[in-house]
Amino acid sequence: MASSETWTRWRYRYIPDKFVGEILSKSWIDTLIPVMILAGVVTVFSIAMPGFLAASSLSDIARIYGEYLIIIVGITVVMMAGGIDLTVGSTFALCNLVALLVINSMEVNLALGIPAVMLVGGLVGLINGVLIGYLGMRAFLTTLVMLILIRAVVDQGLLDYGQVIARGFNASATWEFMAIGDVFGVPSSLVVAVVIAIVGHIVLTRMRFGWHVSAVGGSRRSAYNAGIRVKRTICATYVLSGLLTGLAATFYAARMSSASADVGKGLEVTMLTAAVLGGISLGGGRGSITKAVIGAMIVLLVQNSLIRMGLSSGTSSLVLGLLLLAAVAVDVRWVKNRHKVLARAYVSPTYFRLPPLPETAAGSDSDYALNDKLRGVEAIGLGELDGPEDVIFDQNDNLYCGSRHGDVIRFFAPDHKRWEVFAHIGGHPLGFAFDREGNLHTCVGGMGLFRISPAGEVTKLSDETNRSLLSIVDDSRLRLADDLDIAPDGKVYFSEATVRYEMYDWMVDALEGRGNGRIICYDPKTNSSRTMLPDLQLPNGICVEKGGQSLLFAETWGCRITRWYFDGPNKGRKEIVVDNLPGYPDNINRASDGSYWCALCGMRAPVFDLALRMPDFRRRMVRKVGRDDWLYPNMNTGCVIKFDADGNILDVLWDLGGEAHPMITSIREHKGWLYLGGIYNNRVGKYRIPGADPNWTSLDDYWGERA
Amino acid sequence: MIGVLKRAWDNFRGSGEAAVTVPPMDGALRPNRLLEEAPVVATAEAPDDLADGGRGVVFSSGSRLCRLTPEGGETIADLGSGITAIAGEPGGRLAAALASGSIVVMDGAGARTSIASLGDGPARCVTALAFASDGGLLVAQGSAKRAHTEWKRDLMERRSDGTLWRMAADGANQTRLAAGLGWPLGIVETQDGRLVVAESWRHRLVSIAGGGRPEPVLADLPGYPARIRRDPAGGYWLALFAPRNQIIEFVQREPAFLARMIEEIDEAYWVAPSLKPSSTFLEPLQGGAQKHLGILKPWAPTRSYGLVVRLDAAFRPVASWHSRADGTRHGVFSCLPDGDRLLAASKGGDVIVEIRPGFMTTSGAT
Amino acid sequence: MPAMKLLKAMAAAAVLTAATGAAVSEPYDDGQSKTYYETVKGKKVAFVPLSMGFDLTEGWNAGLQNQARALGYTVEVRDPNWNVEAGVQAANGFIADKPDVLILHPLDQQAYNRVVPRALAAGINVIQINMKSVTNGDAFVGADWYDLGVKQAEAVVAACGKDSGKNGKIAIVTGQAATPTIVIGNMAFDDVFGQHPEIQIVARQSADFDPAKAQAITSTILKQNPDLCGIVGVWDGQDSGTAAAIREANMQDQVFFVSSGGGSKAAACDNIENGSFDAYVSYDVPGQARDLNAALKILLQTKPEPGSNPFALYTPLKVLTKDNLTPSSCWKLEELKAMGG
Repeated sequence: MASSETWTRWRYRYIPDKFVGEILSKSWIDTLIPVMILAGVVTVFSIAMPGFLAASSLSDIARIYGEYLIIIVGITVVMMAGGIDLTVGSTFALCNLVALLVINSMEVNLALGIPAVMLVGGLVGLINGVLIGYLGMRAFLTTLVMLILIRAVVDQGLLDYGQVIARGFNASATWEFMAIGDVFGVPSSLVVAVVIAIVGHIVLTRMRFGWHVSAVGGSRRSAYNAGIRVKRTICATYVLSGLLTGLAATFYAARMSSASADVGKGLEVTMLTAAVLGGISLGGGRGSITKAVIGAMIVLLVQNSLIRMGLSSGTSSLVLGLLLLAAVAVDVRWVKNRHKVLARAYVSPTYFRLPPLPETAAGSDSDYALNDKLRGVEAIGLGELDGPEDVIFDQNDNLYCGSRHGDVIRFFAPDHKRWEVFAHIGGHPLGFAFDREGNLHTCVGGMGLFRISPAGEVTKLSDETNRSLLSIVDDSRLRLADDLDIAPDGKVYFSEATVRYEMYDWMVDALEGRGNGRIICYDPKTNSSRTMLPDLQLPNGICVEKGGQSLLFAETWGCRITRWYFDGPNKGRKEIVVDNLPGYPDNINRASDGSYWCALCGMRAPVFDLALRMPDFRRRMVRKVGRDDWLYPNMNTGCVIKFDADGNILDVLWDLGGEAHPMITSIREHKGWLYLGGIYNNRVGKYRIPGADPNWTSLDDYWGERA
Repeated sequence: MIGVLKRAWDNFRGSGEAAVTVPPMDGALRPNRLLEEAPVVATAEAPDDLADGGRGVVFSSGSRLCRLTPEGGETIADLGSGITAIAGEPGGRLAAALASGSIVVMDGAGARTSIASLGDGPARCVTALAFASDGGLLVAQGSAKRAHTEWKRDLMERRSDGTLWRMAADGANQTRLAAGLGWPLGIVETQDGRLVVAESWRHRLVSIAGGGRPEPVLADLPGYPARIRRDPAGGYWLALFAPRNQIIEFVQREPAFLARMIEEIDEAYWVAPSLKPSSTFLEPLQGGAQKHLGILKPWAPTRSYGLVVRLDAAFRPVASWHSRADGTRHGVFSCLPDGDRLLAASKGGDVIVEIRPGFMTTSGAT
Repeated sequence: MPAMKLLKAMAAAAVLTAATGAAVSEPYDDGQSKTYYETVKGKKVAFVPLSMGFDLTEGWNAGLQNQARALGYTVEVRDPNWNVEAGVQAANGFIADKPDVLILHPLDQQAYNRVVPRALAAGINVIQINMKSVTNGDAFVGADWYDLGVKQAEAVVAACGKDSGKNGKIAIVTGQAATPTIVIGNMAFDDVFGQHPEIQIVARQSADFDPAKAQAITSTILKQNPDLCGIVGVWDGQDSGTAAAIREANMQDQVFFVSSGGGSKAAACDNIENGSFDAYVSYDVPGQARDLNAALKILLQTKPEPGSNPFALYTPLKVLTKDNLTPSSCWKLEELKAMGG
C-alpha cells in the first residue's frame, strides 16, 4: 500500500467529515446563522466598548429586551403565517397613550387597565386581520396604511390628552414593579416575555394553532385543501400580534411614562429587522421563537451600543437599515441554496479497501466462474409485480412477496398464478420471516418491523431503537429495516441497512464506504428493540443457524458474510465466514442440504473498488457530477451462491447479461425449487434445483413438522 | 499568474476548463432511434472506415479491405496489419493506413505504393486519410508518440500532439499543415478548398487555413467526432463514435485517480468512452444506468452511443440519426454518401447500415 | 522631504509646549485658585441633549467644551436624535460609566423621572438644562417656562386685546405635548388669556417642533381664519415655518406673531428685523451656557451629596422687538464656539 494511501486511511478514520452534512441537515441549522451574527455583535462591541457586558448595563438592556421580545413573538406568528405586520409601531404608540391615560392618569386598577390596553391593541389587530384574512387584502399595504392611520389617531390623542398625561402619576406598587421591579435580578418585563416566549414556542411547535400557522405560511392553498381555516388563522395571527404589542406598550408606559410623539416611531422596522435577522423567512412558513429571540437580541444590542458609542444622529437608523438589507439578502440566498449545499455536503465518503477482486471468467477454475444456469428460469407474476424484494411460503405452499406499492402479495398454491393483496402496510416490504405461530414478520423500508397475522391483520412491532450517545443524526428512528430472522426464543433479529439515508437513496450509501448500518434485536417480551451490532457496512441478509445460538449476516458493501453468536457459550463472538465476495451479498437463507443460499444483488467493478480507496475522488464526484452520472456498484447483474457453514463455496448460479433477473436480492428454497426476488424486478423467478429434497420446506426446518 | 488564478477560480466554481458539464443533445441533435432501426446492408467484424474507390464502396474490417456487394461484403485484400483509415478517389485509387506504420496506395490497376515515413518518423498512428481535389493525399496522425491502439489512454489524458499532412500520392513533398491537434479523426476538403478536421478529443471541427491557427467551425459537440464526408449534393456528414459523459469528463480532470486507473485496471473496464454497450459487470456503472423492472432506460448515462449528424454547408447540424443507450449500433466511426443513401459503419455493432434521408437528391452521385 | 519637515516642525512644537508648560508649571496661588484648578482637572462630565445639530444644544455644548478644555476635564456627548427612548438609553449608559456630573436635557417631562433618581442614587450629580423633568436633580439651569409663557401671552394681548382695537382672534401653534416647555407654557397661556375674555383662541394645534408641519398647520389656520389677529409660537426652530406661512399668505401686517427661543442671530434678530417675528422672548443661550458652566464648577468643587440640596439658575428673559433691537441682542454660534462659556 502506498504511503499516501496509508495517510488517506488514517485521515478518514479519525476526522469525521460526516458530521458536517449531518449538522447541516438538522432543522435547527437555520438558527446557527443568527447565533453566529449574535456572537459577532457581542465580540465586536465588547472590544469597542469596555464595560459593554457590565451587569448594570445588561439589566438596563434586559428591561427593554423584555418589551421587544413580547412584540416579536406576535410578529413571528404573523410572519410564520406568511404575513407582515407594519402596524406595530403605531399600535405601540396608541397603546402607550391609552395605558398612560387609563392607568397613569385615571389610575384605573391594573387588573382592568392592562387587559383594556391589550384589547385596544387587539382591536387594531382585528381590523388588520379582517382586512387581510377575510377580505384578502395585501398584508404589506394594509398594515402600512394602518400604520399611518393609527399614527394620526395617536397624534390627535397626544394633543388632546398630552397635558393630562404629563401631570398624571400612578403610585401603585404593581405599576412601579412593572416599571423598575425585578425577580431575582431579572427585570419584570423580561420575566413576562420569557413566559410568553415559552408558551409561544410550545404553541408554534406542539399545538394545533401553531401547526396551522406554519401550514398556512408554507402554502396557503395546500393548507386550505387540507381543511385548515386559512382566513381565520390569518386573522388570529394579527389579533395576537396586536394583543402582545398592547402588553409591551403597557410595560413601556410604566417604565417611561412618556407621551412624546416619537414613541414607537420606526419600531416596525426594528422588529422586522430583528425577525429577518433571526432567520424568520419573509416568505412565511419558516421560523421559530428561538430565532425571534436571537434576532431581537442582535438588534437591541446593536441599537443600544450605537447610542452608547455616541455616534452622530441618524447613524443608528442607517446601520439598522443596512442590517435589514443584509439579513433579507442572506434569507433569500439561504432559503434558495440550503438544499443544494446540503445535497453536496451530506454524502461523506471514507476510505475502504477490498481485497483483489476474485476471478469470475467463464471456464476459469474459480468458485465463481460464470455460467448460464439461471437463464430461462420460470417467472411468477411477470409484469404484475413491482419490487418483490423477498419471497416466502406458508405451510400451504402459498407464496408471499412484497411490492413497491406497500402491499404484501399472496400467490395461491399450487401454480402461483392467481394472486391477491394479502395485507396493505403502506411501505415497501423487504425481508420476510414466519414465526412459530404462523405470523408473518416483515421489515418495511422507512417504517420498521411489522407482524401480519394469518388473517391479514397488521401490527407494528417496532419503529425505534435506543439512541446512541454520540450520533448526530437521530438514529433511534428506523430508516431502512431490511431483512430479519427469528430465533427459537422468539426474538427477532433484523438489519437496518443505513442510518444516514432514506429508503430510495440506499445506493448512495455505497459511495460512503462507511459502516452506517446495524443489527437490531426486537424482544417480544418487552416489546422493545435494542441495537446489538452497530457500524456495519449495509448489513442486509440475516439467517439464524440451526443451532439457534448464532446467526449469519451479510454486509453488502463489505462483500462479506459474518457469523455472530447471540446466545450460548460463544455469546458475543463474531467470525467472518465468507470474505472477499466478487459481488454484493444480499439475503441469506437456509438450503435443504444444511448449507446456505446467498443472493448477490450486484457485482464489483474494478473502477468502483479503486474509487473506494480514494475518498477525495468520490467526494469531488458527488459535488461536481450530476447525480445520475455518479459511479455506482454494478447492480445490473446478480447471481446466487451456495456456501456451507465453514464458508466453502458450493455452487454459483449466474444469469449472464441480466436479461431476466438483472438484480437478485433474495432467494428462498421450497420443495426442490429456488425462488428469486429482486428489489427492482418485475417478477419472481423459479429455478429447479437439481437433486434437491422435494419435500423440504424452510418453515419445517425452522419450526418443525406440524401435527 | 492570471492563468493560475483563473485555473484556481475555475476549479472552485467548476467553470471553464474545470467544467464537467456536457452539452445536451437537443435541437437538430434530438435523440431518435433511426440509426438503431436502419436496415443492415452488411455484417462484418468491427467495420471501421468507408471509402468509394470508383468501383463500388469499400470498407475496412481489421486487416481486411472489403468491397460492399448486395449480398454483404467480399474481401479484396488482406493487408496483414490492422487498417486504421482508408480513402478513395473516383479515379479508382485507394489508400489505406496500417497500424504497423505505413500507408499503402493502390491504383485502379492494382499496383501498390507504400509510404513508410511521415515527416521524420514512421507513418504510424494514422487516423484519417483523404484525397485532395488536386490528387494529393491528406494524412492525419492522431499522435506523434502513441500507437493507434492506445487511443483510449490518449483520450483520457486529453493529449493533443496530432498533426495534419499533405503529400503527393507517392509520399513525396510532405508538408505539415497543422500540429498540436487533439486526435484528428476526420478530414474533409470544402467546396472552396479549405480543410476541415474533426479534432476528436476537443469535441470540435476546426478549419485549417495555411499556417494560421486552427479555427473552430463547430464546437461543443455532445460526442467525439470521427470521420467527416462531403455530400456531393451539398453539406457534410459527420459520424460521432462515442458520447461525452460527465463522469468521463470528471475523471479526465482527476489526475491521481486517472493515473491509478490506467496503471491498475484493464483498459476494457476503465471509465472511458467505449464502442460497445456494456457487456460485463466489470465495467463501471453509473447510477442512471441502473435497470429498473428489467429495462435499461434509453436516456441512461452511457459510455457508448451511435450518432450520425448531417451538417449544412456552414457546418451547422441540421439532422441526426441515433442509436441510444439501450441500442447496439454504437461506435460509428464513418459514414459515406452512396447515391440516394448514406452508409454508416458501426464498429461496436459489427454492422454497416444504410440511411435514406428523405431530402437527399440523387443527382451527382458517383 | 515634506514628511521630514513636518517631523521637524512637530519636534519643535513639542519642545515649545514643554517649555511653556515648564514656564506655567508654578502659577501663583491666591489661596483658592490652586485647589480650584486641581479639583476640576480630569473630571468626567456627560451630556445627553435631546438632539445635537440646532442652536440651543450646539451653543451650550460650545460653552461646555470651551470651559472643559480650559480646565482640563472632559464633556462627552451622546446624541439621541429627538428620540426619548434613545435618550433614556443613552443616559442609563452614562450612569453605568459613572461620570462626575450628568447633564440632561429632557425632551419629556415624565420619561426622565426615573433616570434622575437613578443617577443620584449612583452618586452622580445631575444638572438639567432648560427643560426639567418632574424630579429635581442637583441643579436646574434654564428658562422659567411659566414666566416665558406669560410674557408671550401678554405681548399678544397687547397687540390684539381690548386696547388694541383688534378682534382678539388668536391661534396657538404648539409643540410636542409632553415637553416641559409646552406643558408649563400652556398653563401660562391659559392663565393670561383667562384674564382677558376678549381674546378668542380659534385654533390650538401641535406641530411637534417641526417647521414643515408648522407651516402646513399655519396656512390652514390662516385660510380658515382670514381675520386672525395674532399667533403664539413656542420655539423659533418650529416658528420659522409658521412665519413662512404667514409670509406666503401675505398677512405679515395683519398677524401679530410672537415667538421665543435661544436668541441666535439667524433665528431671532434676523427674523425680527425682516418682520417675520413681531415679538420674541429670548432666553439667551450664551448666558445659559455661562450659567451651566457655573453650575458645573460649583458641583465639581463642592461635591454635594447628589440630590441633597437642589438649586436653580433661572435665565433672565429678554423680550425683543424691532424697537429695542441692538447689535448685541443676539449671538452667533461661531463666536460662542470661539470664546463662549
